[in-house]
Amino acid sequence: MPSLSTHPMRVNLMLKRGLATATANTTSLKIKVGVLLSRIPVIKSEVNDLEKHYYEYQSRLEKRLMWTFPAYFYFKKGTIAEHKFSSQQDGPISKKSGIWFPKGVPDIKHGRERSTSQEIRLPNNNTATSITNKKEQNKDDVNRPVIPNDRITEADRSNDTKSLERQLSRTLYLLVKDRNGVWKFPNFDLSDDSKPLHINAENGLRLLGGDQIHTWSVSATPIGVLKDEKNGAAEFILKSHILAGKFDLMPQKNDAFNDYAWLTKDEIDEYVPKEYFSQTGFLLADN
Amino acid sequence: MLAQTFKKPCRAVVERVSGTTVFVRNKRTTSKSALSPLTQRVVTQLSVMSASRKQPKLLKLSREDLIKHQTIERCWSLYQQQQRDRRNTQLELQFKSIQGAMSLLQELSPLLFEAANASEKGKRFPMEMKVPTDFPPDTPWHYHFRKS
Repeated sequence: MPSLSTHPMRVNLMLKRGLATATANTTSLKIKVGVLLSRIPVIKSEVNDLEKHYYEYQSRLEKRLMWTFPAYFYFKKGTIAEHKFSSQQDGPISKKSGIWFPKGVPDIKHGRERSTSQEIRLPNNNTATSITNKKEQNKDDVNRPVIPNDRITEADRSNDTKSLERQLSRTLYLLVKDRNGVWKFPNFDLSDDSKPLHINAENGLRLLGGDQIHTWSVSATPIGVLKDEKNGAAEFILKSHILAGKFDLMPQKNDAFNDYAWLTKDEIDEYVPKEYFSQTGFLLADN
Repeated sequence: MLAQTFKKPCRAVVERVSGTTVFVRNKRTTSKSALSPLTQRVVTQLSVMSASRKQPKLLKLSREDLIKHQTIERCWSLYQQQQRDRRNTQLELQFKSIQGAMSLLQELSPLLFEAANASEKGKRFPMEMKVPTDFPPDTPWHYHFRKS
């Protein structure tokens, strides 16, 4: 354990106090603690048009430059599987003398036209099923086709900002509305001075929204500070992720806030005052 | 050579049974290729990995196509550069914000500053955190959970 006299930070502090530097206006600030509670994306972010086109172009190039599929390795000669496979394929056009080929003379090796990409059709074992709804599927059938869930959920359609199932591809942040009708990130007075800031923040969050919530503090270090000169308070923002559970604000129980919403960065820009967003906007994830 | 084939009949053998000729097909005793089945298998496996006879023709772009390709690649690299710049400026702002908060905390409360500065060695991501997927699961969010 380092002794107090040799600890560099303590020395620094003692010097400051000894010299009595002009920090009277900041030392009088009351410490408050705020939480930036986020729900990380559940699904991958949407690709924009440029990305979509570029990926399409790259995949076409890659397919054009791909080696011939060695079907002889996967299907033994003379088997039913080989017959099923080969009957599905469109054979290439073969070379013949005395014929003009508008797309160039065929150059075939291993049953593949070398100047184009190779199209492989896999024999589909699934019997023709027209079931498009997942609920109609028989759960016991192991061979049922995979039907992906919709990326747009019910909460998106009804625009339910209290739901955590909306905007699955974006990061959502918890905002609360105070008595004056101003939206802001949840913040509390420091209840216990002896505990670190992030534990105070977690406790305050549970007092506000019930303890049916599973969160994980990213760090004990605050990511930012909002100085409120009028009230003489400094709000230290701590970052935390919600992993499960429900934030359930009960307006009758607490007097500071009466509403809450889970919002993306773009929506936060519309909800909060301009000045507030300029101080906190860069702390939020773009997607 | 001739005598050998007579000795070891492989394909169709003419047998004389009470005056009539009957064709009988026996099991093939020699393989068509000169290699043994084991060697043939190794050759097939190696040929799967080898590029010979499997490579497509080289891409021969015309001048116009080449310019198109270069434009696309340039556009993509510019786009990546812009994204990288945006991320870097945001990271810089975030770092400055942390620095400012910590220096203010140091002035306001040295005790809390030390607690906020404590080493978090060995801290891990929680098990419940998931990597984003292409499509959402059946239950996108677990509103009820058991506290451990």
